[in-house]
Amino acid sequence: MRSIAQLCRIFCTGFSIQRYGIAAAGAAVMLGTGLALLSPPAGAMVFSFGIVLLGSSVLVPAGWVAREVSLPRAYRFAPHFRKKMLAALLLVAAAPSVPTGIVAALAPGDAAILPAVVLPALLTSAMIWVFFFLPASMLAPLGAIVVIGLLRRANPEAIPAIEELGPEVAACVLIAAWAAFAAWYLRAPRIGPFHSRLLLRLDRLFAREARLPDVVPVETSLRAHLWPQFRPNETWTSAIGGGLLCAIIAAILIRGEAQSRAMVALACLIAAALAFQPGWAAARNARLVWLRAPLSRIELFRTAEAGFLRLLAIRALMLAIGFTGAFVLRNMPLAPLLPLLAVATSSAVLAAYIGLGMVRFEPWRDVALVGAYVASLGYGAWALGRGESLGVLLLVSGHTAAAVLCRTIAVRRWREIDWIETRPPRRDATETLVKLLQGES
Amino acid sequence: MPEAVVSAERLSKSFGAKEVLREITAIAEPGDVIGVLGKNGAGKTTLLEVLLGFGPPTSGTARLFGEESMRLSERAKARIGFVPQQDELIDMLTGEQQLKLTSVFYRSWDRELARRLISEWEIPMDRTIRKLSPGERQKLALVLALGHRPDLLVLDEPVASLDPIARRAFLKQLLDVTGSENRTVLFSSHIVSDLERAANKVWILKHGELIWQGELDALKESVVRLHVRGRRKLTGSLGIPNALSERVHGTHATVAVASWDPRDEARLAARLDADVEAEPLGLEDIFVELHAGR
Repeated sequence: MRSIAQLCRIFCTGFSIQRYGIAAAGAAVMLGTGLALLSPPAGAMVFSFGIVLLGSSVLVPAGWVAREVSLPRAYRFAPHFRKKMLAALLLVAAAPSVPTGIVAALAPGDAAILPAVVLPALLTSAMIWVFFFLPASMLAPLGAIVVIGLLRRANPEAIPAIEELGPEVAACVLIAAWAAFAAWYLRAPRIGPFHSRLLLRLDRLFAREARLPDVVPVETSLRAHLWPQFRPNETWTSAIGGGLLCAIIAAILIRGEAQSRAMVALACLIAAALAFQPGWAAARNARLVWLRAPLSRIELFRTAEAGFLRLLAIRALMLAIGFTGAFVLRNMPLAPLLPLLAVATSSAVLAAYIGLGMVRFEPWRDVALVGAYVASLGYGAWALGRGESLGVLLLVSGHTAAAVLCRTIAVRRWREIDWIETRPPRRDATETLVKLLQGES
Repeated sequence: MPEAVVSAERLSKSFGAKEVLREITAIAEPGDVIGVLGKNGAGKTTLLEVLLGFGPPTSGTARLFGEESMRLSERAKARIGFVPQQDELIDMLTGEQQLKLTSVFYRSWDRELARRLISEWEIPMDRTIRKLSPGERQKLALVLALGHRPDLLVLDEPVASLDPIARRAFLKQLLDVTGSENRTVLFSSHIVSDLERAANKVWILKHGELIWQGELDALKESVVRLHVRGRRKLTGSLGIPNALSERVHGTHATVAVASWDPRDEARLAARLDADVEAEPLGLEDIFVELHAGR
């Protein structure tokens, strides 16, 4: 039992980001409790934020940690390793149902206990599986939303809404899904990597440089090393961003108008935030060319910067063409497009500079920076949704100023960039886990 | 005295509170083939990577061809070849494409040498790197490091993924390439027999400290195992200077000693009233003795 408890602890706190999230959530909960004495609504808001942060820090990456621990094939020989892993995963998936079930049981009136128990477990399980099967799984929710949305649009009676299915059906689905997962997990000769064929095809589409000419210029080689076009694990952001935008454009074309402008704006901003990935990847990949390219650290930074600005310009152009086309086809006014594109571009540039500057993880500063950025996206969605011109102007100016500041920080960090710290961890670093499991069986 | 190809002076490196390298001072001269030996976690990879400028030292200096490692010029970089422990090849490319992308960085790329190595090591260059075996990936990474005939070759566990035949072929190739061109090679390995076959100098790391650096032959002459047969029961510590480990069983004791001078043998025999015989050790035994606690 101790080893299962230990595995649960690893799933929930394995990544340093989870531990920082837990610390920040604890601080928010305490602050919220204290604040409630002065202002109950504000206290409740901060307290709720802390609880949500705690849940997401602990549970969202748990599937990923479990996958990382499952990957080394040598672990198969650890006694009952897979069974213990499965038991620990089940416990983590069921954990959120305990407090919600208790709250439902203690609540006055006829509060339904089954939905309160099943729905959190269903959500947590879905998150665990999505993260466990990355990157192949990332298209599944997106695809499901698009397909179900289109089918319901075509024939609303054909597919009932999830809430109409009832908790009993959800519970059966959950049990069946876990049984299928367990049957596969306990027997699979190897776990991962999970590259879907569709993604590999997408990778080939993104990998323009894969069709190399006979004489390759140095710039092409630099781009190929710095940018993630060739790495299946790193192209997923492009796929998510592209998928989101396609879904939005499809929604505009089908529904005739963006019924919820805030939602459309938020989706665009999420797509923009994914620009973080190219900058972050370039900072790490520059290690590959440090000894080969005739460039200093700062010259490498400038090359990476020029590359992502080019990439963003192409994406902004595609975004503009896609939206303009959709708006024109549906006879919608083009005026709201300008602020949307301005905010998407400024937030994408800022995200890319945050990524470029994240050459080493400085927990509190980086978490604060990312937190402020996410908050600004929320504000952006609100301003765009309400058509607040002043708010949009403020946001674009704020993002631009922040991008200049982040660039300065990035330049300073790149001068002393330490690629030893960013080196990918070796698989044998987790060998202690096997020893732990063997010792306790 | 020739210019040092690699030099480290009081080099330390820490990650947070963890000190990985401690006050390392060492040099490598042209033509040296240096084996870096140490247990897992001793700091071998970090030492090689700090010397190559992948990260700044916490204190001290690291220089390559007289230039500070963190600020290497284009000229200095063109003289270096490096194979990391985990290869850094691009999975989506074919071996041929990876070769093309790497060779464009070097004016002195030797196509003939690269072709010859690819053919001898039977690397399938038309297959995507994702589909290559770990050994084939390692061989490809080695070709990419050797192709521009670097003056300094740094190899971090270069033979770990190779089968015994490929290992021997690689070491022979390494000796051919380095021996004929006065090239400096710095390589780490867990396989002591390979290191013994290829290196003429050794750096031994223990807990981030360089506990030995020098000629391999000098190391072998310097560290011996003494067999002491007393005329009466031996008790307590024998008090032999520079003893690395000591095992006493009744009238018989074995002691590993560093910096051994054969002239001390008679003096020690007289002091202990025993017969003393010095046994030369292989590198593997020396490595084990250097890591044994007294």
